[in-house]
This record gives sequence, structure tokens and C-alpha cells, in this order.
Amino acid sequence: MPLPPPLPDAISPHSNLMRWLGYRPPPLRPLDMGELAARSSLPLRARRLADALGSGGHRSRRKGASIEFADYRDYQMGDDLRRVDWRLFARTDRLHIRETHEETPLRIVLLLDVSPSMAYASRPGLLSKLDYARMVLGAVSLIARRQRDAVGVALLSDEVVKWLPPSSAPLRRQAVWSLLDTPVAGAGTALSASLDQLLNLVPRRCLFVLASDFYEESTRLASAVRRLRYERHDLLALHIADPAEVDFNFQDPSVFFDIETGAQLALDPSAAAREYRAKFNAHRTAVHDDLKAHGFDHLFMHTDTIPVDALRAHLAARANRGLKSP
Amino acid sequence: MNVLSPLFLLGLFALAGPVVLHMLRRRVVRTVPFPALRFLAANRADQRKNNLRRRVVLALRCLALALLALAFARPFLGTPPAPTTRATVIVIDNSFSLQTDTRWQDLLSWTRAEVGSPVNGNTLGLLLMNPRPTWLVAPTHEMAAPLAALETLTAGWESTRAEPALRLAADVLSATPASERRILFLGDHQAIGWTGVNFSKPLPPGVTVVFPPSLSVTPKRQAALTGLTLVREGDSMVVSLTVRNFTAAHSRTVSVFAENTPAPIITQSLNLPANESVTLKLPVNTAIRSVFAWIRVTLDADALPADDTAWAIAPATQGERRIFIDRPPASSGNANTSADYVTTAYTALANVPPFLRPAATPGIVWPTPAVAILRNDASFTGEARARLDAFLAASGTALIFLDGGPAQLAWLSARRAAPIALAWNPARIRDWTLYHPLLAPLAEHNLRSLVGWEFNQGWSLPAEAFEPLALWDDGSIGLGELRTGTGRVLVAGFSPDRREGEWPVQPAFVPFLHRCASYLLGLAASAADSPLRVGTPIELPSTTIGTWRALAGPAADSPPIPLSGNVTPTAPGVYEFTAANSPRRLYAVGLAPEESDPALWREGTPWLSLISPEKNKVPSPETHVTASQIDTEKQSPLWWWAFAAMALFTLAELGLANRTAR
Repeated sequence: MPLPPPLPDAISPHSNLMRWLGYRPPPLRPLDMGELAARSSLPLRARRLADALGSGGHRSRRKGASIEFADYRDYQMGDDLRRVDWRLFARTDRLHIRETHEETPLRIVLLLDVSPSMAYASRPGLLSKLDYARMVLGAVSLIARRQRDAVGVALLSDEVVKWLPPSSAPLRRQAVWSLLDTPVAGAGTALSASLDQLLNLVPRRCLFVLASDFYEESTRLASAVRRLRYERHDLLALHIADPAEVDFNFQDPSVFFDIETGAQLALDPSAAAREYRAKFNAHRTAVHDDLKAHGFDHLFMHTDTIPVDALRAHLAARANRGLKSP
Repeated sequence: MNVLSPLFLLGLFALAGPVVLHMLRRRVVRTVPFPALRFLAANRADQRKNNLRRRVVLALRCLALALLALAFARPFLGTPPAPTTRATVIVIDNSFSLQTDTRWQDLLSWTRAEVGSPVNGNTLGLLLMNPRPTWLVAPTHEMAAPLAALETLTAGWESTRAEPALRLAADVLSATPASERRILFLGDHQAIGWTGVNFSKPLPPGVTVVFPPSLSVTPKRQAALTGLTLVREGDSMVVSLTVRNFTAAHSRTVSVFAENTPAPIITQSLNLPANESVTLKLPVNTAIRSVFAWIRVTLDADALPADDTAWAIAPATQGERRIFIDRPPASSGNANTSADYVTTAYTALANVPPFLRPAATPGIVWPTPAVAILRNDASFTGEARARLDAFLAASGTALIFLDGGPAQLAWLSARRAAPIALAWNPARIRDWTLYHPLLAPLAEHNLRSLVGWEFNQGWSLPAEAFEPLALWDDGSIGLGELRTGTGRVLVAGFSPDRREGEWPVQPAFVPFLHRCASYLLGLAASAADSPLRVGTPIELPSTTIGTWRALAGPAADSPPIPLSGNVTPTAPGVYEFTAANSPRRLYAVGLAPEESDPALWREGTPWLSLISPEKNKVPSPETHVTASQIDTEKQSPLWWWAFAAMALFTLAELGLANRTAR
């Protein structure tokens, strides 16, 4: 076996050893839904998604002891001399106090809609809306853990099925993860009622990340949203839909069976498609407008597209607005 | 409504496709789980509207397919022709031998009896046999037209060729759906007419030929004027005639008339040996000679009077034509290359007609008609140039060989025809315009004479000023006819000088020069030794429209006709052609001498073997397309409307189908 060439003296062995051995870092693979769907377990999916998203830190509006510079102010009597910027004193001959941003933990509550309609996947190989929601919420929880934020979770159906208050304790995080990994199925959809019920349980201001298909009357949903705003919570609504729900590109006359209610309807889909799309889009617009009117964010996601770009753009937009992000 | 191609209507079976698909689509075959049923409230009005749309789409699809099939079937309006029971074609021998005795009348009577009275559903056509098969009346159900044409038909002046017409008529009949298909042969069994016929090849099966019964026997007295020329011998004119006797020995009288005068200028008795030819030379009085342009010679009447008269043109008008050849360009001093090949070509050969004797370009005004062969730059300078221009303005013609002289180029530049010297050598002449009257006789004789023309130097002629006759290697014109508007001018972009190439010593050189002179002087390709015959095309001297009329002969009463290019006379006689830019020309047209032999075929009846013993299947009238049906269909192109409607329905179907699919 031929030996590698001798190591040049001018090259540091630590910085160039890998290159010298011929190592090349693998190319970055773009993330696709096929890869995500092929990963069998939620942790793997969520971790891959979180890796693709990257971790975004968030700042507090308060200033305190930290390493991130915020501003200078004049020295006042009683200030801790350890916070005086002596280098600036050497240049200006005046005493200034160096102020930094205080990093505060964020309380994030992951809300997962576990109603039967979320179990829908229009074709094999496509994630169901529930799996898609679990994956996205799992990724959010991973990012929150990296930022040492407090994470809680609630499973919503026609009521609050499960509830874990936000906490940054490692055991709580394990519990959150376990709950996302094995969710309990719900009986129906009553988002407004379950949100009302949940708000009675939440003690302090939180960032709710709600993943649902929002099959709820928009007027009833509005009352819950108003209460969220009134109690000064923040909400990121992840509106998840299957491509077949959006396009409704069925061709042959069939009997349509409602997953949630069990109702059946025989119809010619090509004849009903136009009206369906109009109603679906109207509902989605109503949800969007309602949330936006109360200052909340609404992200519409298809289960056949990767949520990375939408989430990253949303997190960047929140950061620009100076809001906390998970 | 009828269709030309009913088999295409089988495409209507394709209508089953959309119908079956429509029926299959309406069946609900599966249950689909779906979470958003709340947005799918059943709207019965929409369902009904959509069902209606689907039925309309189905109807449009079916209509489009049906119209497509109909369009390909070529529909037309009109009543279908009655089923043909008997199709008859009368093949008419229009040779002049049928003028013998009462042959024509006898054959017409026999033909009328065979055709009978018109019957609804029968077809009848008249096909002339000579010189090539020509439909006098195409086969038609309207039998009155061919019968009327048959009543007014007279015996012709052609010579017999039976086989092509018989085979054409048989081919046409074999394609008709009639149950009985027959050819009536209106002709005699003249031996010359059946000579060369391939009796071993029968006509298509199912076609019968009805031949006339045996006609009158060979006539007792039949002789023909088979040759007649009027030639100059010294200062006198001599009528040279040949009489061929086809029967036993007998005496005849020959009369020579000056043009159409009733009194003969010469009368001569003639003893004709049995089946022999006699040649006579009769001198014409010099005083009389100056008053006629042509003569008519007749024999006293016999069984076939058609060939007892002949005409000849007086040669006086041809004696005034000249060829002027200018001096060759200055020699380089080499004795081997300074020979005057052009003058030699026109003078040293014995077969040049006497009226084409060349002469040097005169120092006075050049008389016309004449052709000037010019290759010297000096011929385009000073007084010579003025004489050339006046010569061309007076309908003179010229053949110019370019040598690049400045005066030559200036003369052409003044006519916007300045040539450009070729930049390479050797330059080759190629791409001849073989159908041009100048070149057609050469090409017909031997194409090899037009190959291998190479020159060390050449000039390309501008395309806007010349009609191309031959091209150089690069596609530019190497030989062309200048469009001057007056006389004809041929310009060759090469030189006949031996120093410029081997062309002057090639076999093509002399025939080409002679052909150029003949063409420029408006002479026939072989006027010297081939007399004009009925059925043979005559090339006219002018490309512009002139007047053609008969001065003597059976066609003398016909009105003059305007024409140009060439003409094929259908009767013997003397014809005149006059045009604005060419002198008056006279043509004496005779008959084919072999047709004068009235002998009948004596070796059995081999023509009966032309009738095929096989019986072929008669085409079904329903699937057979006749010419009248095609004409009717072309007059009312319903297929176009069917296509248009199909396109319209297809567009509507696409629009509605998209609306039902959303």
C-alpha cells in the first residue's frame, strides 16, 4: 500500500491533516419530501428537518448581563464598576457602562390537532397531515431545546386530549417528545372549544405553535383567536393540507366518505370541483385574514412540499420584526 | 347525396368509442375517503347542468367523428349515374387511306348500325387513332354528343397507327363498371396499319373488339405523288416529282399549276409500270417562274384522290440568305494556332446548303436576312459598329464570340449586358437548356456533342440581359440570347480561337456553328432533306404570336389562326406564317407516302387474337368512381364544408369538455 506523501513543515498538522489524508466533506444534500417520508420514525424526520432549518436565537427586549452588546450609557453613581468599558474610557476619558441584551427563555407550547381528519393522506408515499404536523412540531421542539427554551405540548381534538405545561427541564422535553411520537387520537374537531379549555390551563404568556387542518367554522375560531390576543399570547398557525384537498383533481364519479363524520356523498367530482375549490379557498382565506387581523402568523403548508423554506422565511420575518422565535 | 369513397364511411364505427366511454364514465365504482366533505355540498342544479353538458359533448364528439368520416368519403350532391350496361368506344382510323373509293362511307354505315339508337345507361366515346390517340369525345352517358360528332366527321389525312389507340380504349373500358365493354374499330385492314402490332399481347380481359367486315378489294388504279421538289438548276427552275404506282401498269397525266391558277403551266403524260416508281424532272419557263411562290402538281383522279396532289415552295426566297463572317482576331504568330476554324466550318463542308454560303462582312450596309458571325473587336468600332447596329435594327441576326476586346465590351455595356471575365481556368460549359429550339436538334441527335467544352478564358453574361442557354461551372451564363428587342443575338462567353481551348477541333464545333446559323436564320432543323408531313410539328421562326393560314389544300377554307412556337398541320397543302418581326414564310405540307399503299392485310385475321379469352370481374358500380362523379364532386366540394364543420364542432367540444372536467 503506497504511503501518503510526507507532511510539509509549513502546514499545521491540525488544520490540514484531514485535507492531507484526502478527506473531502460530503456535499450538502437538499432535503426532499421523499427522504422525509422514507424515515420511519418521528425523531429522525424531525431532526433532519431541524438540521435543515438551523437554529435561530432570539433576543429579549430587556437589557441585562450577557455577551451580546446592546448600547452604551453614561456611568451613574451606584453602577457596578465591572460593567465599565475601560477601553472606551482610555479613548474618551469618560466612564461608560456597556449594556448587553438579556437572554430570556421562551415558553413554547406545541398544539397538535389530533382529530380524525388529520390522518388523511391522499396517496401512498405521502405523509398524512398528522405525521407532517408531528414532524414540523418535532423540529420546532428540537430547535427550542437547542436554545434552552421551555417547551410544552397539547393534543387538541374536540377537547384537550393531553396537556404538558412548558418547561425547559430535560425530563419534560423527553415527555414532550414522547407525546409527539405517540399521539392519542381524538374523536372530532372543535378547535375553538379546545383552545378555550387550554387557555384556562396556561399560566403565563406563551408562543403557541398550532398545527391543524383548521376544519372549524371560521366564526367560532375567531372567538378563540380573540381570546389569545386578549391574553397577549403569540400564535404561529401551521395550516396543513393534503394536495388532494387543495386541487381536488378526482376524475371518476365516486362515493366520498367523510373521515370525521362518516357521512357519504355520491357525486361526479369533475362537476363539483369548481365549487369545492371556491369554498376551500374561501375558508382558507377567512382563517388567514382572521389570524392576521389579530397579529398572528399563518403558514399554509402542503404535505407534499418541504416546510423548510416557509418556516425559515417565517422565522426570518419574525426576527426582523423583533419578535421571539423558536 | 352520394360519396366517392364509401369505404371511408366505415369510420362511422368509431362513433362507438365516445359512446362507450360516456357510458362507462357514468358508473360509480369506488368509495373515496375524504376529510373535507363539508365543502362538497351536493348541488343538484349543477349536476343536471353538468350532465347536460356531458351529453352535448358526447353529441359534438360523435358529430365531429361522423363529419371526419364523411369528409374523407368525398361527398357530392347530384344523382348517381345510372348503372352502365354497355360501354362502347369507337376507335376511328383518321388516315387518308380511308378516302379510297367508298371505304369511309361504308365504315360509317357499319358503325352506326353497330351503335344503334341511344339507350339510357350506355356510354359512348370517340377516339381518334392518329397521329396519337386523342379523344374526340370522351366516354359519356350523353350519347347524343358522340353520335352527332360521328355524323359530321370526315376522313382524315393522317397515317395509320392502330395499336396505341386500341390499347388506350381497352384500358379505359376495362376500368368501367359496365357489363359489356366493346371497341368498335372504324378502320380498314390496311396492311401498313397492322404492321408492327404486337398481336401476342392481348387487350385487358373483358374488352371485346368488333372489327368491320371485309371491305372492297384492292383498287384497280392507285398511284401517288410521293415526292415533289422545286429546285434551282443553274438559272432555271426544275420541278422534280416522283410518282409511285401501287396497282397494275396504267397511264396518268401530270399537271403542274402555278399556285391556285386553274390552268396548268405544264402537262405531261406518264406511263406507270406495275408497282414501280417513276421520277420526272420538268423545267419551268423562266418567265413564269417569277410570278409564283409555290406550285401545285396533280395526277388525274384514281381510287384514292387524296395523294394525287402535292405542293412545293419556290426556293427563290431562300437564296437571299447570307452568312457574314468577320476577320479572325490577330494571331499570336504561331502558324498552328492561327487557322480560321469558323470560316472553315462554314465553307469547307459539302453539305452546307447553297443559300448558306458565307461571305466576309461587306464594307457597305449589310443586307438582311442574314446572320453575322462576329469575333473580332474591330467589328465593334467605328463604321463597322454603325453597320452592325443598323443590321440588327433591320432584323439582322448575329452570333458573337467574346474575346474581351474593349470595343466588344463597350458595345455590350451600352445594352446593359456587360460580361465579366471568369477568374479561373479551365472554365467548363455545362447545364444546357436542352429544350431550347437552338439546342433541341443537337441534343436529340447526340448529347455527347454538348459535353467537354473547356476554355482557358471565359466571360460570364449578366442574367438580367440574357436568356441562358448554357452555364459556366459557377452557374453564371456562358451562352445566352441577348434580348435586344429587334434581331436575335447569340453571345458566347468564349472564343472559337484554338489558343483558348480544344473546342474548335472537337466534333461538336461544326454542328454547333451550323445549328446557330440555321436557328438565327429561322430555318428548320433539317429543312434541306426532310419534307414536312401531316402530323409532324413545324417550328415557327418567330417566338411572338403570328398568323397561320392555309393558302391551298383541303384546309384552304379554314380561317387564319394566331399562334407561335410550333404547329402541327392536320391536312396537306401550302401554309403561310406571318409575324410582325419576321418575314413571311411558306410551308408545303405533304402526306406520308407509305399510307398511299391501299393493300389490305392478307395473312389471316391476327387482330382477333387481341381479344383476351379471359373474363374479368366487372367492378361494382357502388364502389367504382367515374370521371363524371369526380367532376361533380369537384364542382361541389362538400368535403371542405364537412372539414370546416368538424373543426367547429371539435373546438366547441374542447371548450365544453374543459368546462365539464374542472
